[in-house]
Amino acid sequence: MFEKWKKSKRRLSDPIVHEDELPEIPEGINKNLSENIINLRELFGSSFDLVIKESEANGVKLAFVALDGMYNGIHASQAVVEPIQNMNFPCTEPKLIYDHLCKFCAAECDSKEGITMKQAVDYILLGCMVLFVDGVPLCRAFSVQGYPRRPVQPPESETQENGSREGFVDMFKDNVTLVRRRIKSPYVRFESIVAGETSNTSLVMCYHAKRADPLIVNQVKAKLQNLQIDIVPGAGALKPFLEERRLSFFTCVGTTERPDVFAAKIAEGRVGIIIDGTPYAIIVPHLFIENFHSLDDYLNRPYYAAATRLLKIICFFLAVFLPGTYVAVGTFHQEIFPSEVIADVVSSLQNTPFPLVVESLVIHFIYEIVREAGLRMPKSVGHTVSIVGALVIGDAAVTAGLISAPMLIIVAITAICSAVIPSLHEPSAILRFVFIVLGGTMGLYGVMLGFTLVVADICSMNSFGVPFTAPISPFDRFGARDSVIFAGWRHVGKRYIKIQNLRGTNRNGTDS
Amino acid sequence: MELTPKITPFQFYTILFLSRVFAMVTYVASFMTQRSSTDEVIMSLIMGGFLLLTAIPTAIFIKKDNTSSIITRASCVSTVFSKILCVIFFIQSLYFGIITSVRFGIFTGSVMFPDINIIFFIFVMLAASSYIAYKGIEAMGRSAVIILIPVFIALIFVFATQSKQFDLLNFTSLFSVDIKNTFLSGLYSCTRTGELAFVTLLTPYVNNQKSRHLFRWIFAIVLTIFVSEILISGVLGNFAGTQLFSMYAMSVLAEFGFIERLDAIITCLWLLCAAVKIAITIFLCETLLSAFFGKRKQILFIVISASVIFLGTIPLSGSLITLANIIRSPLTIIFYLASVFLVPIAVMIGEKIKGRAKLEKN
Repeated sequence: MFEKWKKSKRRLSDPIVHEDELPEIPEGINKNLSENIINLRELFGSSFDLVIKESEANGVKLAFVALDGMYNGIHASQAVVEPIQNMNFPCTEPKLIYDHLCKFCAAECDSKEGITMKQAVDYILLGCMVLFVDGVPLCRAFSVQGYPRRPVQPPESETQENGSREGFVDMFKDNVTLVRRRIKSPYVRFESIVAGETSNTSLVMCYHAKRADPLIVNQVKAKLQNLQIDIVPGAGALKPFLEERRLSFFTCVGTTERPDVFAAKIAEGRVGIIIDGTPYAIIVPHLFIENFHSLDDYLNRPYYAAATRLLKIICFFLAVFLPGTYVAVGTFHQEIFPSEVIADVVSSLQNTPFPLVVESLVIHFIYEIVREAGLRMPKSVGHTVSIVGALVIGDAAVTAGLISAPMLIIVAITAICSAVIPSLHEPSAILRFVFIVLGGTMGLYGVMLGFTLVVADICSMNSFGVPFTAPISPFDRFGARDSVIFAGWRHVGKRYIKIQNLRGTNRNGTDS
Repeated sequence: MELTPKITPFQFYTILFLSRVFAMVTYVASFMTQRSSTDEVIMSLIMGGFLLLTAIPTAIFIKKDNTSSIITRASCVSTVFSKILCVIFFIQSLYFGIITSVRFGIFTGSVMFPDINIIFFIFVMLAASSYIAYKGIEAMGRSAVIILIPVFIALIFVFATQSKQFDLLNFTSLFSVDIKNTFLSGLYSCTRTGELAFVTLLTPYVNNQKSRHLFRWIFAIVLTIFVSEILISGVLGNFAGTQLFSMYAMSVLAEFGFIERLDAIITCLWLLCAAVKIAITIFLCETLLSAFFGKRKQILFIVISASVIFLGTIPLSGSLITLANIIRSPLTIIFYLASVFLVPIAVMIGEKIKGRAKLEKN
């Protein structure tokens, strides 16, 4: 039975066209230009965007190959094609012509030599214009990329009151520039790695050579080089490969859309990964407490920063535990309600047809549906969904006596609180349901037991040897100045923090 | 090479502190003596004295070598001796786990949910504790520090809210019941600090452990118990003797502004200590089984230990008299003294003899 299932699974991954029927990339570049052109045409098949412009220089045949839309036509024409065509060659030998044009031509743009057809194809796919010369088994790739790109805009997911208005964009080179502009140090390294068997996505690993732990850098590099992934659609696809453990509600890989935040983390000795095609960059090691940090904390007065951080922590606890605690108290421990409100609460609970735990599960389920619909629908329709959802949940359900009014208040508080910490939305959305069930079946005892398990789960995590719960547990005196509170730049700015120096970090570099 | 996870002394002693706090909040005074409020306060000081005395061999033991466990050091003396110690400590850990689970069951069944199936609750607690134990000592140490915060707040809250009801008239005259009984209660109370035996067993997992950490822990325990006993006696007086759990009886009176009943929240926070206590016990059992069999099969050993504790708990759960008989048994004192006093001394003497024999041989 299982064999049959395995076979059917294999069939799903089978290509429609058999791989053997498709041409392989030839090893080397042929001396004969026509052969190279035929090979490329066969390789790209029916793709309309393959542009091959044939030309001549001093009687020697040339061909410029590029992908339409991937290169800047005007730039290519002005910097490469025209200068070559107008050039006077002192020789007629193909190799000498090739060397001459490599030496004197295209000073306005970068160029690189390719010795294999694989390299030539990679350059073409990167948006370069590749020059083939008849009689020369080499090619020259000119960096004249020019595809449509999004301009630098304010980050959408990490809006800040103060701070820069620049956010990462989809083009990785622009992102590298945004980081370079913020840390002007020759020790900041940007190493390029290609990931994704099919997508060949460019990743850029960034670190400060003087501050990052070489062991962490090497571990990240090894993990990125050995990625077993077909395409890299975004930062989230790389996270599981950088995490120590698979089964956990929380992640010890951070993401950011802000170059200023990214630069600050790099300066702390962390390793960043910029991914081509996404405005989200990855940062490792990432600590749990950093989910409650924002750039504004560092730009506001320390007392206000401490207050907002505490507020965010409280919001996280409310978002996760409030519904479960309410269900537990309403079902098992009604004596906790103040005597002034107990009559109102109990009467409203009695007027609803469902047990409190069912009522809570249903209302939170509806809330998640409305939230998801509002997120996925076009903006104009999204507002309508929100209004309908609010009316249905907010008014009609209470009026019809399906849901009690206090429960509605609980859902509203939970929803608002979960929006305060977007990076923890995933765990809080799921854990909320878990705690409702625990509270409904085992009361406050169940909630507390669940809390212990969540704490143990968080505490057992290490991110590249750095405890996920640092600097709170294990407590690090200097690190704690920028944890729940922010002690202010006068205290924190005196000496920089190195992430690998936090207490409890496994200096052997292995995750313990 | 597999690296041994290490925790800080603060994390380690926080685990032990929380473990002892659970024994404190589930302390049934009526098991021991005819209760006299002042005697209970004195009893906590006597307990402190006994604890200090019995901790001396442990302190010397870790001062001599804080990198190897008592089992490893015993194996240097004799392999058979270390195997015997493994068995002794394993039985003691199981006993410790069973008593804690029974206490938890009685506390839950009598205070929190009188109508609930206690066995189910114990099972859930053991499953959760096994999960924590499986996560390892690092996770336990870090969790304990985080759990300490709400537990400490809950204790301080009870102490602070009850201090206004404190009345000196509630104190009886000193030794009004029996001096011998008070001393005996102190000794029995000391045996409830069986965590002392964990110190020598889990030493390799603690980074740079020193004797002063041990004495700070003892001081913290004695202070907490002393303050709680003073408050219980000052607030409840001899009425506390009529209550099953006197600490809980005091927490019932705690109120905060318009919220008049907070005992459910407070007791739930105390139950976090139970999870930590059972988890460290199961972890210890797993470590001892690994040491005995010479190979590590973490999940299997944890499941075996948790299952044995669960099976041992079933016949005792819900029976207060059986629990009282076990706790009052002189065997408890013998077992405690053997594990925290005699065994470390025996190992140290064995090391000395072995060392001298080696010197003579050379």
